[in-house]
Amino acid sequence: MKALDASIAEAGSGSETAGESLASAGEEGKYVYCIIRHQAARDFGEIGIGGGARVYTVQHAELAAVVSDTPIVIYDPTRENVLAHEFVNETVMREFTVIPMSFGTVFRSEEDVGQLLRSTYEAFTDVLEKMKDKIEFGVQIRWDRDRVVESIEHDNDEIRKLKDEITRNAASSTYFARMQLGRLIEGALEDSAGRYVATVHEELRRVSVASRSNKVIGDRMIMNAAFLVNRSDEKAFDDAVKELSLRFEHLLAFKYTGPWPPYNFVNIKLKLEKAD
Amino acid sequence: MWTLDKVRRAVEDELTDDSSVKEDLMCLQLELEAGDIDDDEYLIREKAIMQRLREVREWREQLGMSIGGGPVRVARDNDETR
Repeated sequence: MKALDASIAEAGSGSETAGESLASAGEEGKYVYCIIRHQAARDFGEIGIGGGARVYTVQHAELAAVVSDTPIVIYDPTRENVLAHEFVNETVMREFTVIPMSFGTVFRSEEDVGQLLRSTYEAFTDVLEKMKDKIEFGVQIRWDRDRVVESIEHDNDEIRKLKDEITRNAASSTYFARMQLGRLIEGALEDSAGRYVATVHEELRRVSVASRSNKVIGDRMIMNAAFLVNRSDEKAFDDAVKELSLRFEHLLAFKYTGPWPPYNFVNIKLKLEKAD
Repeated sequence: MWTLDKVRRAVEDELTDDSSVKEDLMCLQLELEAGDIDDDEYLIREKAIMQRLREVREWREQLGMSIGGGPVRVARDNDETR
């Protein structure tokens, strides 16, 4: 699952008033999924958030915002909602280069969406050009800690000796020796995590344009990265990930997702404010 | 030295920070993907997490801080007409 925080809509801090009841009855806004370059109106079908709303474009010159009608609400980032948001972006990116908006971005009216396109025209155009024919892949690596500890105990002389000593003198081995062993193992674990991550980054850097490391989730994960890849290098990237996951098969579990829109590589600071 | 103001600020930071809630949500999703929990259990726990997110949001609104989601528009000072 992607963290959507990294994409582009940043609500400005100029929202000092508490919102009234947001779900004012019958009021319709526009949920914005992404920005693309396209001249003519376009319909993507009934695939929108909130149970299959029709997804279509709001145009300004050759830019288009991909939107669906929505009540004015704050969308909870439930799995269902996030998947709906992602599904629309994935559908659109089959044909277009997209600038994804963050999950939950709702404008009050078509006019407000047009205003977004007009006021951010240059930045959008620029980024669309930079992201042209590029896609994102996610690579997460989790390790089997026990197996890595085993292999460390096997390969690291100092640790092996200390461990043998402790086992041989089980009765007399001190608390201190055990502490020392634990510390050595922790240190060696950290080193080897660093080495694995560096190796993977190095190999994948050859077949990608850029990469970004995100915070790891949970205690078994040692790498949580996103890679920006030229569409023409998709196969090469794919092969490289497969080769790496085979090489480290017994120690590391790779989770490989995508293609995604470039959630992690578009960083336009939109100056948005709350629309009361 | 701790002053009442500092205490108040610490409490406010705690109430208005959703990063731990978001982390719990990501861990929950990992559990579902790993097959450790089924859809039903996921939905029950997701609901509780959404409730916590909403509480953080309410505190942020009350304290006049920005919130993710909800209707937005282009900020006026950014409003170049072409």
